[in-house]
Amino acid sequence: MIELNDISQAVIEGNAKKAKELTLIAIEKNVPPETILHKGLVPGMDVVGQKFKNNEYYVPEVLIAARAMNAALDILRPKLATDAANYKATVVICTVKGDLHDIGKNIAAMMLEGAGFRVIDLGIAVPTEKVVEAVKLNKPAILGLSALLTTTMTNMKDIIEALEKEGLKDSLKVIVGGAPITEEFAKSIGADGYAPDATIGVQIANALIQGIS
Amino acid sequence: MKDSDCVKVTLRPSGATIAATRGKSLLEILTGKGIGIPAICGGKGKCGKCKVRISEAQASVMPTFLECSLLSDREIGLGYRLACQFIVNEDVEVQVSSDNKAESSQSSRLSLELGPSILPAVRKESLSVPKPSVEDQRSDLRRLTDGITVENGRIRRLELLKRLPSFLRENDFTGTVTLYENEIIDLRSKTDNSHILGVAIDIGTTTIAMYLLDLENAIVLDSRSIPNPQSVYGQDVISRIDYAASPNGLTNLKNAIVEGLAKLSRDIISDANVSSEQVYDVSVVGNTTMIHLLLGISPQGIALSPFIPVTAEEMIFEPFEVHLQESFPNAKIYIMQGISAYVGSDLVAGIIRINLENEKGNALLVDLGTNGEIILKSDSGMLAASTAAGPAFEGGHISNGMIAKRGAIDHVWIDGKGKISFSTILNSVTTGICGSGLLDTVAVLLEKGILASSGKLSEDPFVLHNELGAVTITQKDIREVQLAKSAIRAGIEVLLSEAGITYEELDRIFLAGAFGSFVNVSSAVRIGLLPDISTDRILSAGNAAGEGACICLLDRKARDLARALSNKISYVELSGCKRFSEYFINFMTFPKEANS
Ligand code: B12
Ligand code: FES
Repeated sequence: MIELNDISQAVIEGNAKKAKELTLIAIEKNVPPETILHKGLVPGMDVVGQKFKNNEYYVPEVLIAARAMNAALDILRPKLATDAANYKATVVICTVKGDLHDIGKNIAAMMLEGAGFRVIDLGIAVPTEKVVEAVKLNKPAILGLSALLTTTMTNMKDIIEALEKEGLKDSLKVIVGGAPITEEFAKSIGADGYAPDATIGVQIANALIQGIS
Repeated sequence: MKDSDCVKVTLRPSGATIAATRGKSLLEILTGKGIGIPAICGGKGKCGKCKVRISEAQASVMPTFLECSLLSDREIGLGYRLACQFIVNEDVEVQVSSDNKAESSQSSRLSLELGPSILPAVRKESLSVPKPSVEDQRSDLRRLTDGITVENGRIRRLELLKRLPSFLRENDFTGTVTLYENEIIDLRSKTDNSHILGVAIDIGTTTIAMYLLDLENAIVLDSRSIPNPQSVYGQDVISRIDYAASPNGLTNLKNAIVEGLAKLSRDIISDANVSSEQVYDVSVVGNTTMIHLLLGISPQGIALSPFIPVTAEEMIFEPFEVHLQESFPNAKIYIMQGISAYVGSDLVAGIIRINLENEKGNALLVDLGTNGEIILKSDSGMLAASTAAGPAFEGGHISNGMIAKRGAIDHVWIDGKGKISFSTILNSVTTGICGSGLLDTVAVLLEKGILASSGKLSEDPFVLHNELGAVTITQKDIREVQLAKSAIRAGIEVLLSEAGITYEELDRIFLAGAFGSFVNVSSAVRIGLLPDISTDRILSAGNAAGEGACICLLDRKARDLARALSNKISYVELSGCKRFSEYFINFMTFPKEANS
């Protein structure tokens, strides 16, 4: 089990090289990829999330840690069965139409991935129709939306309305985030959760999927 | 105020006067009128920066002990005093030269040499034309245009044409013609010797500045600024664009700015004892959104990708078209050419002001506002970028943040005993902290090891306190500084790499904007906001935008230059730029050690 702890540690330190090497060793020793993910990477990202929360880590450290996690994940992905059993749930995430800010969204996506979700990132300035399409295709349990401009946050409302029109809204939960968003705004547009930061995003996602299942 | 409590302060060279309460310090009186006097130590008589020259008659007032220690005997003999120590008990005349305007602690200020009037767009010409006769049946207008030296002279103002026949006959076919390029814009009798005046305006998102110039003597008579009255509708450009889309939003924003300008012009014109009718030329610069709002044009295209303004072109209007007829009934309203949605004519004016084009080697012009604008001049041409830093440097989103006004902590340093000390503006009880104080605090906390290079604050909140009061700085405040400074720095780095040079190759950095002239350059370098080049290569450009607008009043060639510049400068869009994101993340941490 020692390797798994070390893998967590490598993620926390943001040491991509070490995370990769240790993952390879673990695979060689026949540790199941699922175990490496859930007992190595996820606990590591969990600590990263806590450090972010209590201000020990900030954006750069989180992204470096996420890079280490991704280095290991790149090796694991082909070996992990893509079936739902390996993931808590699927999250589709994007920055809304007209908005090109993605750093906060990327952090939220990585944290969710690090918490054991399958994350499908649609990228930036995603038109409402594209979001609806992606929901139809991937049937996520959670849709994460990000907006950093007061002029684009209303596009979140458009997305929720479009989902309602297509009868898709009841099949998923919507979490919104981004600096100008408030709890009130989230409620007013019918979102299920508001994440002031990425770790709260993970907490809400965990709580919401428990509600679903 | 009783007359006996009232003293008069006369400003030289303008001759403008200020009525003030007896017994106040000169610093208080001048800064109260918006006249920027550098008071780095906050009026404690420690920095010596608030030096002013008093007319001889009052210079006999004994200098204080502090003045004697900071000024040389020669200076005292010449009438130099410290404004913060000089108590005004009698009428006084004071020399407020351009090098007396806001100056920063470490950066040397450029002095504005508004040389002899070079070639203003507006000028006057004396007129004397033959009286009509049966042999000479030219129309009045023809007679007039034939009688001036300009080719293709014309009148466009119908009201002026209506006045023409009586004017010519009452004045015996002589008079003074006021020309704007080749257009006759006013006729005055020969005996009217009042000077042609110009007004330069810099409309910033936060502050509007106005300058009154005598275009015949090429001098600035006075300058004033007020907070932009649109602020009640939103702090930043995007919030205002948002508000402009609401019912009546655009009209309210336009009216707010027009009223703000009316107030400023009323004050500046009456204090200078001149008439608004003397103002024939108004030169306006501002960020592209502010220009849209002044003109009442919808700015919606600016907010969203692909960021398309309705116009960034040079435009000239009649005062009534832009609702400025009450402030400037006779003037032409010139709007300077800008570059793009996020690099406006204020930046172009700044480039003109510091003569960036002719700067040797590689030079950067950085405006440290909410929308940090950056221009890089290198051998390969000029590049521009705009990087949305946010309002942290103006005190926005900071728990105890405020703009640089009375009571704001403006400078923080480690004193000889290793204690953290600070000063406040006007030496008042602390009410908060402004951008320059915040940057100093971050630098000092890094130095003291209370703040790690990662941005982790070990004492959260950190309390700055002395006899003037206490202000707390939180971890979240530090995070805001990290975002803002990194956004600026990343923008700089993108332009440097685009031009293929490194920061060591920078010969000069000019800091524009109010914050830019206030900030302690070594702190800016210490926290990594600016590249680590020697601080004597970093200059404050003062209110470069407003002064650039002044230059356009005095020299119409500057207007040609503004148009040419906007074609020469390539705009680098940072949205969607991968390299920007990488730099932005990397520069979020603070440099480990102070290098220089
Ligand atoms: C970096 C930046 C940029 C970069 C973006 C680079 C990139 N790849 O993202 C560039 C330079 C390209 C840019 C461009 C613009 N920007 Co900008 N930008 C910023 C800046 C400095 C930081 C934003 C940031 O990355 N923060 C760090 C991240 C980590 O925080 P975050 O996004 O809030 O995310 C956290 C939480 O909110 C949450 N979260 C966010 N989304 C989600 C989603 C989910 C599902 C969950 C669970 C959680 C979550 O988790 C994150 C981590 O905890 C801010 C100012 C500031 N000081 O904040 C302005 C700012 C957002 N920008 C602004 C503006 C105006 C613009 C421009 C219009 C102007 C310009 N000059 O070009 C353009 C618009 C481009 C567009 N159409 O989108 C304004 C917005 C003002 C307003 N009223 O809306 C700001 C506030 C600055 C300002 N006051 O002027 N910008
Ligand atoms: S000496 Fe007067 S303000 Fe510093």
